[in-house]
This record gives sequence, structure tokens and C-alpha cells, in this order.
Amino acid sequence: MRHVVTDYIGPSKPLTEPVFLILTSLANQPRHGYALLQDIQQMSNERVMLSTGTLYGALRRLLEDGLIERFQQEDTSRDKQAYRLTLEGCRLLESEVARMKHLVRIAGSRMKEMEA
Amino acid sequence: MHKLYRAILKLYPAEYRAVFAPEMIDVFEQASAQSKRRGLPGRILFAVCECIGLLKGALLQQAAKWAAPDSYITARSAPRESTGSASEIVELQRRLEHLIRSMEFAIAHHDFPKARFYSDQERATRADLLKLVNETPE
Repeated sequence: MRHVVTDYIGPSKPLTEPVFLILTSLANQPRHGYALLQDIQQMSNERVMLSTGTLYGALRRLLEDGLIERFQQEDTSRDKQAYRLTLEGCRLLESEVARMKHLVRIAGSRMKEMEA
Repeated sequence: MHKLYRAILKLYPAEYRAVFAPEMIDVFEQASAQSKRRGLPGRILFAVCECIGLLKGALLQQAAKWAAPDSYITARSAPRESTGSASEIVELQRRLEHLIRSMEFAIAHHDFPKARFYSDQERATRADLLKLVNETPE
């Protein structure tokens, strides 16, 4: 009997780059909209510069899917609430990172085969 | 540019504008001030990207609303009120219970980095809950 062993069970559909970057940006701390834009720009070495339309479209979807939530920080007004990951958001990000690692591992081993 | 931004924003569904427009305008103003430091080419690039992103966003949001009018904007998207409410307290209590269960599961499986993560989340949630309970009027 043949057993297929896999250490990756991922979401049915890969995340889009803006969504992945937003979740990654919120992984270590809650952030406001502008802080998210700046962090994403920095993380991607200025390659990805999200417009406010793209950012808030993605934030609405993530809020509605329960992957992020609003977070009231001290000394901030109602209009300046930050966003943070929910448990579901953390799990989705972990699963996406596992999917990417899996693909990188395959790509690395195939490149080695090619060189050999 | 600011007038144009507000004009394009009117193409978004009303529910979306009610929830996100003040925040979007605020972020746009900060990003616009930042783009001025990059000179004229940087400002032009910023303006073009913002207009295209906003127009594309308006189209996508209208389509999303058309596809699911009942679940397009729910309480999940709405900004939180500064004062606590019973439903928020219940939600935090549920989150706390879930975090404790996840932490116990992680410890049982010797996954200590994950257990520490849940422990930090549990501490932050407990602080939020305490704050909310203290803010709630009797």
C-alpha cells in the first residue's frame, strides 16, 4: 500500500500579494492604515505601493471574513482605529507561509537536479 | 487633487463610504504629504496611482455589493465605539476561552513557540476585557 505524506494542507486559493502583505504587516503588531502602507512599501523594498483604494478594499474583505479586526488603541480617536490579526487570520497566514515554503523547497530541489 | 479624490470616493457604495471614507481621506492626506518630498515625478506618479486605484476600487466595491447586498458591510467592518457593550464583552470572553484552549493544546503537543504566542494574545485580550468592563456604564 502506498502512503502519501504531506506536511502542507493550505487554503484552497493562494492569497493575493496585497492581502498577504497586509496580513504579514499585522503579524507582529496592530497598525493604522497609513502605517500599513508604509510598512508594506518598506517590506517590499518599495516595489509594492498600495493605493488607498486597494488597501481599504482589501481591509473591508478581511474584516468581513473575520481575518482581521479593529483595535482601539489608547489616545486615538474613533476614526484612527488600528487593525490587528484575529486567530483565523494568524492561521491563514501560517498556512500561506507553509504553502510558500513547500513550493520554495520543491523549486530548490529541482534547481539542484538541473545543476547536477 | 483632494477635491478629485473626494469626487471619486462618491462612486463607492454609501455603506462603504460611511464606514471607510473618513479613514481613507485621512490616510490619503498623509500619503499625499509624503509624496511631496519625492519631487514632481513622485507626486505625479502618486496622483495617477491613487486615481486608478480608487476608480478600480469603486468598481470592485459596487460589484461586491451587487453580488452580496445583505452581507456587503456588516458589524464586523464598523468602527468600534469607545465605550464597551455587552456583545463586545461576550465576544472577548469567547476569544479568551478559545485562546486558553489553543494554548493548552500547544503545550500538550510541546509546541512552545505557539504556546507563547497564544499566551501573549491571551494576556492582551484579558487586558482589553478588563478595560471594556471598567468602561461599561453600570
